[in-house]
Amino acid sequence: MFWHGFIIGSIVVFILILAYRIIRIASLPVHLRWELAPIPHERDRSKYGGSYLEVYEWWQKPRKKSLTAVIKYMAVEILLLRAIWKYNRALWPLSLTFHAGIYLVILAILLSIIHALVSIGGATSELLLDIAWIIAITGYVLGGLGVVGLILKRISNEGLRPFSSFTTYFNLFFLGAVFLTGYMSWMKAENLAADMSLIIKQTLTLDNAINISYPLSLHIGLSLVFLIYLPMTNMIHFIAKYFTYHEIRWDDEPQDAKMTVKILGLMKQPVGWASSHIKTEEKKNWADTSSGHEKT
Amino acid sequence: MKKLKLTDIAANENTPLTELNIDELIPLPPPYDRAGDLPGFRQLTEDQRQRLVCNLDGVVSYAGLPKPENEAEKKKYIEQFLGGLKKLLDKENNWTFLQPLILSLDYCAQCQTCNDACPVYLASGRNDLYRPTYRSEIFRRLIDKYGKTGGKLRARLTGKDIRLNWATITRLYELSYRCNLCRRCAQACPMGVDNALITRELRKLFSQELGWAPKELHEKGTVLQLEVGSPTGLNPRVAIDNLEFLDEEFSEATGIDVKTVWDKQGADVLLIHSAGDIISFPESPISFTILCNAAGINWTLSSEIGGYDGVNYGLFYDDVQLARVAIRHAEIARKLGVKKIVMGECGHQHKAFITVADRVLTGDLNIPRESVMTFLENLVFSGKIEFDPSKNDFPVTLHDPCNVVRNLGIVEPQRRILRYLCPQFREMTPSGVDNYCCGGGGGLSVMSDVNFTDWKVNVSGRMKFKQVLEAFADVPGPEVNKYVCAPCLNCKLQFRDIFEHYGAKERSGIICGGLAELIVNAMVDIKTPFIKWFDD
Amino acid sequence: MAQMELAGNTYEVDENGFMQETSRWTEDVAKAYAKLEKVNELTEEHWKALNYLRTYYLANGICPMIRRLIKETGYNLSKLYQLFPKGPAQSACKWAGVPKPTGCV
Ligand code: SF4
Ligand code: SF4
Repeated sequence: MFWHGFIIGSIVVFILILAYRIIRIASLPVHLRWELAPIPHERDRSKYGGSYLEVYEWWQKPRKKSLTAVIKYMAVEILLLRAIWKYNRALWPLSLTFHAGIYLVILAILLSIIHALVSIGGATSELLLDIAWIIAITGYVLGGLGVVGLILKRISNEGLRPFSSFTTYFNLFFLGAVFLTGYMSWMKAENLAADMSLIIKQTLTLDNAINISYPLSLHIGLSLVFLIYLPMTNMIHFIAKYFTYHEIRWDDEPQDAKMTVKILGLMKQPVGWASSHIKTEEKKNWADTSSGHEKT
Repeated sequence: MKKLKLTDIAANENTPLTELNIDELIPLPPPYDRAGDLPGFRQLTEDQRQRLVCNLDGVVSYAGLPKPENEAEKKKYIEQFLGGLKKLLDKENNWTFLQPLILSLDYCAQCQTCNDACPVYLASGRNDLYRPTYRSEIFRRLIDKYGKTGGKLRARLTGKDIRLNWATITRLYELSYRCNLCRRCAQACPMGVDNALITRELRKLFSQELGWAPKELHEKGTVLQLEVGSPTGLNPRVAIDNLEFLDEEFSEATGIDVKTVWDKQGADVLLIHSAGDIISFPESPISFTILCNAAGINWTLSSEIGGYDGVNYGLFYDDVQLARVAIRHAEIARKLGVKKIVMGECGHQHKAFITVADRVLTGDLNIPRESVMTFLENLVFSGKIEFDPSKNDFPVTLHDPCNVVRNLGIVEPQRRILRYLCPQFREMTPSGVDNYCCGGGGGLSVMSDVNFTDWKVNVSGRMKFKQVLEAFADVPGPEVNKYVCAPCLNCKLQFRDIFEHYGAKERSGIICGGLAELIVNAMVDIKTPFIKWFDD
Repeated sequence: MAQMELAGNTYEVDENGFMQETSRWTEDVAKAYAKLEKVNELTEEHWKALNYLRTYYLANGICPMIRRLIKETGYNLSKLYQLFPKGPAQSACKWAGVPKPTGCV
């Protein structure tokens, strides 16, 4: 039962911490507008970075927003690392190798899960396992190379070195160990994906026959510890990015009735800043401190 | 150039971290390529070194920073800094920017992609001090250490320990005014981290908690605006008086009746210029008077306190002042009963009033606000005014004010006007939303204490000056009159300082002005050239 | 606050040398400022501009627009630069003992 508990427990902890952090970010108050061009949902204008504010008396005109353009933009950003390609070409090959490694390993696990589910129903697919197996090993190799490359780059590059801390290297080494043990397991196993799929199946069905041998045990153990560690770090930037892009850079919503209610609430909060131009005898709230400067 | 470590920020509180050397900055095109030919950097006098806090880069932007006599006094300021740091992280005191701040603090991947997007860093010849990440990462580590539970221990264990002392806080203060808040770095960041925002939060901490802010932005900025009407010191009576004088002058010069409209109740449009335009670039407000009258627009200016000066320096350093000024402007418009407010040619006014303050103006204060670019585009293409583009047959290039273009996405209207009215219009590279800041962004253009102007013209304005010269590379000589169209007062002031420093008018024939002047210059009804390179 | 010695007295000035106590200004102060910028003799023409600047400032709390100065004195900009080496804002205002113009000007 150790493995069942470990696997399921780690996943639950991962989800819980991640959810907690997402809720923490999402529940922060409405902020003042701080958008930044280009905004991809501007259907006709995003090519050159234009916005609806280019329209004469824009508040009288309908707005055209494109969701597909946003999805396309994010897909290119996530899969091909557009921003690094555009602004930091020298880092791009390494970063892409590294991220591709991660994406492929995740994909291989997903395929293994699919196979496990299928096999619970009694069927198996050699082809699916072979594909997953190839994807997994490509992932381990690319990920491993990416880690080594990034560590070397961070050590050797004068711009990066001062900003790389113990944590930066620790995270990279940790991921490197995950990739390395994955690679070792692959060397040992006949078909790693088949083994993985079996373990997943046994976990899902709470099958007591579960038996994981070294080095796969080490690999899975490390991966699970990493999974718990991940949401406690800034490596969940894949989540933060949703907010920095959608809720800040691309948030160009004019105030509407729902927002007004929130803002009026926020403006009722006291202002505690100590500078002489703000501080008063009795504490004022935001609404009072910012109005009443009308002179005639 | 000395390599800097993050921990250097706390070392040797009386010694500058870096020395600026003109030879190490990126080179300018000829004839500005020989440092020896140019006025150098003003060094501080011995007396100033004694009196002022000067421990960053040999430049001082604010002489008013206190210089404590003893450790106890220093400790008091450090405590205040810590108090402010905690308020930045709190929902009541910083609801305005809490979410963007926390995201920018917590998710930087330290990839340094943003560095090469920064015009200040590039111009400096890649001086570590001016990396967008240098100040941010120090501030981030301080917040992690002092603002989070277990932070001190974690800082020690992970080797991210930054000491907080007098050197740290004074250098961070000064360093927060080595950034244009142009957000070019934010555009480049894959994570969506915004170093400009972090810089601004740092400025807020100093202003809102310690009362440290450049005197041009605060004491003689927003405070003066709310009291007297304008950071220039222009009170309502003198504002009206000046425009009456200008109306007369220009009626005489142009031969048409120039009459500025004041305080017209129920007008369609309330136009809010920057008062600095009235004083330093009077052709600009006069151009608007001419154009609005010629197009038959029902418009007005306001002579209420603050109503004739659209600047809002709060955008640069202080949320409370930002809200106060924005609400003041909206109240004036509400009283006049206008249908919309049109921004003058002022970038930060655009950003502060159209978007940032949109979530402060509730109820009937949220009056529609429009950019001058769309307003002018509509006017030019309305068919109500006759133009002769051949009157503008000189090389013109366009500067994109960051606050209008990168921040609001208003890119094309001004270009459609220029393509129509200026036969020799050419773009700079890069331009549009990828532009470089003029170097005066973030309030820097109005700051001129001690030797700060030297920094602006040599470092922050350098990339822009280079771009301007390159845009005119086909006609470099002073015999060809050239025009940099900068539809923003702050940018114009920065250009004026740059051009004066390098002698660009004399050596290259370059002047700078706004957009409305070019439109008026192309009007068939204006008989003598409206734009002048030389005074008569 | 910085101090500066002009014509034998000490005055409070800003970091760019502009007087902070306008009321303490005397004609000798103007002459002393001029000397520092290598103008050894203040002529009628100088005084016309300086007096106008000062009177305008005292009445309105702000320096006059350059256009007004030009109109009032009859000097064009080049002439003003001849008289005041660093121009109307940096030299003339300073010599007239009024604070440095600030705020987007
Ligand atoms: S701010 Fe963005 S671009 Fe700059 S180092 Fe951090 S993650 Fe990289
Ligand atoms: S906002 Fe502009 S000036 Fe400031 S760090 Fe970013 S790129 Fe540099």
